[in-house]
Amino acid sequence: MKKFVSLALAGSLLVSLVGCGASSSAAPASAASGASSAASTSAEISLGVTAPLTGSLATYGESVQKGVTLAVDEINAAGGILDKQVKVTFEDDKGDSTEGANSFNKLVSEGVCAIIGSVTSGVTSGLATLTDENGMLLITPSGTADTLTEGHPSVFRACFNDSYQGSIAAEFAAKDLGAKKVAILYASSDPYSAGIAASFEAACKTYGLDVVAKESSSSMTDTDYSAQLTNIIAAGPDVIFAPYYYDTVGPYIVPQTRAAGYTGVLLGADGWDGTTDTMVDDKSLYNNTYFINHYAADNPSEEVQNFVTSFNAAYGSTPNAIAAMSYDAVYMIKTAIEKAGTDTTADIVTAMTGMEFSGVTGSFKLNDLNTPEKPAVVMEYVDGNLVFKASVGGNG
Amino acid sequence: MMKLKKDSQKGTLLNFVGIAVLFAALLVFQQSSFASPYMRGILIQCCYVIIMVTSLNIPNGFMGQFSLGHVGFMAVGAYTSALVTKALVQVGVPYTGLPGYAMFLVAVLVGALMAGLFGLMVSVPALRLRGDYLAIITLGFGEIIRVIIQNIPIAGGKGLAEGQAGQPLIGIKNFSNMYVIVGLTIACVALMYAFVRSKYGRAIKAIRDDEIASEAAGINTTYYKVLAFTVSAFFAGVAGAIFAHRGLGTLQTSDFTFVKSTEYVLMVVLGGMGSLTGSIISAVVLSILPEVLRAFAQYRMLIYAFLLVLMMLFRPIGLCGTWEFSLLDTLRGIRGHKPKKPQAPAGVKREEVSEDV
Repeated sequence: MKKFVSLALAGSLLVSLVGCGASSSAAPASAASGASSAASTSAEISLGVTAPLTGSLATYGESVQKGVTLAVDEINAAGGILDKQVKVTFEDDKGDSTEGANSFNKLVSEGVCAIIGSVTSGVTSGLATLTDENGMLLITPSGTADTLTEGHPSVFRACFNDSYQGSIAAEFAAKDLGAKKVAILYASSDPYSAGIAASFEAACKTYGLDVVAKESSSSMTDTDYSAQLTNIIAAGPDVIFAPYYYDTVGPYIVPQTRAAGYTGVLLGADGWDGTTDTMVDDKSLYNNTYFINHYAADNPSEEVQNFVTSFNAAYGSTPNAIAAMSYDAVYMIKTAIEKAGTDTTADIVTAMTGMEFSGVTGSFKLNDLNTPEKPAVVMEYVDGNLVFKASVGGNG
Repeated sequence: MMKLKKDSQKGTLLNFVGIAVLFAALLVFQQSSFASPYMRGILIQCCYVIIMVTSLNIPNGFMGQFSLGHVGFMAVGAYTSALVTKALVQVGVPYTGLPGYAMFLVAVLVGALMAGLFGLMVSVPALRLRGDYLAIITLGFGEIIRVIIQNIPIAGGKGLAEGQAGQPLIGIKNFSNMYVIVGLTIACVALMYAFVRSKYGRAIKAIRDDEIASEAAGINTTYYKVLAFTVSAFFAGVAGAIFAHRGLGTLQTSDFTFVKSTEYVLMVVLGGMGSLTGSIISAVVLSILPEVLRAFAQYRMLIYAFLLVLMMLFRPIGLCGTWEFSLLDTLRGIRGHKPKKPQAPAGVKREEVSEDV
């Protein structure tokens, strides 16, 4: 019996490998034809998406998938782009750079004309290098690291970058909150956290803010911040800036800061989006906390409200920033294709460079680093509810 | 005696023919329409995973000392070699064509030596312990190496003088030449094969089977343990160097978490503890499997895990046990001679393995 099962298993493995050979031998053939003729004449416009659909960042991947699917469905219902229907292929990268490269290469060999992805700066930085070889258009909905678009002319993004975000945070602290002394708590090992903390600190000088304490944790997933908070609170800041992700902000950083006796302002960055789901029971702890974000779901503008309504109708939930930016990324590609009048990758890249665009995450022009220059929104938590507080920056 | 010598000569010759055939196949592959960047990427992935898994098999399989921090050494190799090529490019050494390959090989060697040095440093204190304790120590060391790298300014951002701690290292040159990488992989596997078959390898296996008995027989167990660990770390460094230059141009410490270490351990166990052949097969299969399963979208990792569970249930000694592929024996088998098969009674081995783990 056992022998039989192990034989059967070995057999199934073999079959799956052979299956791989067969399916992938078909793929390059279609890719070859796709590259030469189909790209400009086929009846469909095919887009690729690489996102962490499984793994620890699957929430983000799911948001991307929902945002992109909604946009593509809308476009197709309205007649497509240049009278062609849009076809979208999703590939999973697990938030891993090697898997990301594999899915990117797979999408390229399938002949897509543009790729949306990936969610994190880490994976996207590898993909950015790959675009140098084949000129593929890559648009990341949420990769905020400054270096992603430097020296990679066909990499774009639908979000602002880290240095902008840091300076917005400083501007908000100085002008809107009237702070004088600020403290920074960040994760030294994390590109996102360390990057924003550095740009915030630099911007503090510009806005005349005094950085009285700067403490770091070794990772983004630490659960105990009491030692750092003791030092920070002893320095007496008006504002504590803590660029972390929602999974530590909700359960650890905010409650521990309050428990240490600090009642002042806590300020965060776009990683805080989603904290509503990770809050502890006492929601009043989260009063007087703010974070910089890309869009506000309760923004009264018609465009945003239409998006929120149709998203809610499709999935029964309020879209987060990543879903909104993925949605915008699809429309950015649509705008560029319409501007170019063709769906050849190189022409779309040319059309998108310096393009002006208006979407649910704001109206903007892409600057010379292919990054939107748009106002950021500041969100506030009031008894556990997310409230739009202010719109900051936008002209530079 | 004479027969044995003749056999080994014949075997060597055959193996060279085998390698030549492999390269011919590679040449054909490169020319065919099959060679998309996607397929090339997977092939390169297979290469560095093979080196990682076979090198990890030396301490885990052949020596029976469980190491869980192997990617730490891979990280050392990767970052060192990346910084070496970066520095060389910065001082104006040409990086295209033949000088490029030379530069890459130098970087691989430096990275591997550095990783070996770390292996030596880690193994001297760590190998005083065994079993679970050693596993914990190596895991800890792997994490320490990772955290240290995260906090070195020259190993982040644009690297070297323009570096920034905590950022991914970007702008690493692409040296992913198929022939060079496949050649390196073959060389590494051949060297490791020679190592485990040598006097040193036999001593290491003796330590696995019974440490006290081998010490009583005059084997300097500490020396051999440290040696095996260092050799293993050296080759992990080679794998790291290939990983760094595989064409993505970026390295981040999240590529070297202990979860990755666990993946490599899994491949060792699945292939067979103490079989380089098994390691190679499982490295290739488990690198390709997630790609094959892409058709199942979000269920693919579920299926992947399920296949692993089934494998371990029905073949706990791993795919190959301790069996090694030999071209000579296989050919003889085809021609009707009975190959000299190492007896591997499944029942006995199974118990041994479960004890080790």
